[in-house]
Amino acid sequence: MLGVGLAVAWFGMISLVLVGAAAIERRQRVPFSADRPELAPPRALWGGGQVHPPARSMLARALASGARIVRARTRVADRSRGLRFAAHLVAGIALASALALVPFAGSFGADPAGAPLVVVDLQHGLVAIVFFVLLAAMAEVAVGLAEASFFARLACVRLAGRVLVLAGVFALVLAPLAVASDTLRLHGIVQDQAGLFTPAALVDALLHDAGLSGLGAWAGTPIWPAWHLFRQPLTALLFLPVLGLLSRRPLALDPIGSGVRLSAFGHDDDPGELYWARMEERLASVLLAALFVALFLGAGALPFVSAARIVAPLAPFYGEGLPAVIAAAIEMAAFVAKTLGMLFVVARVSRSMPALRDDQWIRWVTRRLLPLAASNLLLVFAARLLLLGAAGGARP
Amino acid sequence: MLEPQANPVASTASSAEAVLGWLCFLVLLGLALALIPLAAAAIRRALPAAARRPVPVEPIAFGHSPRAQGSPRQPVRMHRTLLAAAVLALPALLLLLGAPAFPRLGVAALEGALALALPCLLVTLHARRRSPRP
Repeated sequence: MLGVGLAVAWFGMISLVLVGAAAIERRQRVPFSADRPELAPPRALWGGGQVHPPARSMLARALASGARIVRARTRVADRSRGLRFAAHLVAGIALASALALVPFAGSFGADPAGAPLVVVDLQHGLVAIVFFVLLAAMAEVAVGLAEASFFARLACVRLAGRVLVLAGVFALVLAPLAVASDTLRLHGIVQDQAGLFTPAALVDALLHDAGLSGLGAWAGTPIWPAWHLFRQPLTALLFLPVLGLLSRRPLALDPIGSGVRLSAFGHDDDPGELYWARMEERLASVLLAALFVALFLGAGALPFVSAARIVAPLAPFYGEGLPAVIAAAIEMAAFVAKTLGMLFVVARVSRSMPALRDDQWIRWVTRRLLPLAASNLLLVFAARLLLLGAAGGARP
Repeated sequence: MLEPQANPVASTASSAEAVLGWLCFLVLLGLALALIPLAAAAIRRALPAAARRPVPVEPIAFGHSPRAQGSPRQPVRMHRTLLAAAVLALPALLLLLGAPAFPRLGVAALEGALALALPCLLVTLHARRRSPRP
């Protein structure tokens, strides 16, 4: 029953984050510019100001979007509906399966040997994540194959190339995490981020290696949370644009905003397909944020307060069970808060970034991100060997 | 090297329990997401037949520009990108699989890494020479 319980808890958290993502998405839109009023979206149709509809009208907008789906479906000639449906289904299952692999906290009861707080704990979880993200992205290619036109086929080739190159870079970006944590298991990577770490340990090891006296006692004092965001900042910086590009959907007409936005392959005017495409896009962005929180922000861990410090004072009064449940609930709330914060930051950053043409981002990925990812892997590998040497072969 | 694992599920939970949890999560999420379209479909079924008949739409045509028809350069470049991407993705995935073993192998892993990296570098340099900056 533990698996089902974890699945229900994880579903509740993801539902909360999906609702939050719907509210935060508005931050992604470019604000109204007084200099170019002709480019402003005609929002008077749905109420609210020109910048964006107020948050209090979110429920009304959701109801209106739901009402639009009742409208008669459109049917485009020369388009395979079955293939499009299958592709959306595969993409949705792949994204949901990838979400099921994300650990949302450490172990139950703050015991490293306790049950991991994750729906599916795979030994090679990191590779499975790459596989599921690749599968979801390749399903988009299949959506394009449903159209028989020359341009759709050409776009499929373009999209397939883009997906494969990004999947390769994604694997290179994730490899330093596996090197640092000695495992491909996502729960192991989260456990590796528990506690504090010493930022000056590498410099100290370098000085000792060069025969110098080192930095002294303070260099061994752990002061920062051992999150990979602090231990591998370059990996964290590379992870966001790569997974952002990988989970990004092509441009499509947005009938509500009367603009062009990221939604699905092709220019869909069918509200039903638009709904599924948006849900898929939202799931992809939630997966990005949840993965970042799990891999770089210690999942649901609170900084400087371990779960053991929550459980230990309560254990003499309530036994082991209730404090463990309270600690898990606190960590789950922290995970949701971190994921929503991450979605907010990504929305604000992507609003300030230009939309790159295909040739621009291909050049950016192959000539900037790819060499940086390879250099980062070598850097982490060298640092790991150095620290292992300084610790006399024992795990630092 | 990584020890061979008979059971890919790493936690104390059994494989059956993990699969049940995965299925439960998938079904719950699918039901939650399909709630609105299912409700819409139920309402649509109650509408008169004329109102719910699908609207036929012509596929969007982008035209055939003489430039696109005259030169196969763009499709050729796209196919070259696709092949290069496929060549890149496979070693990257292999590298990810072998990454946890690197610290245990120590400096000996560098020999293997160089054997993998040098052909990639050669191909990259060759491709760079053949595609001048547009």
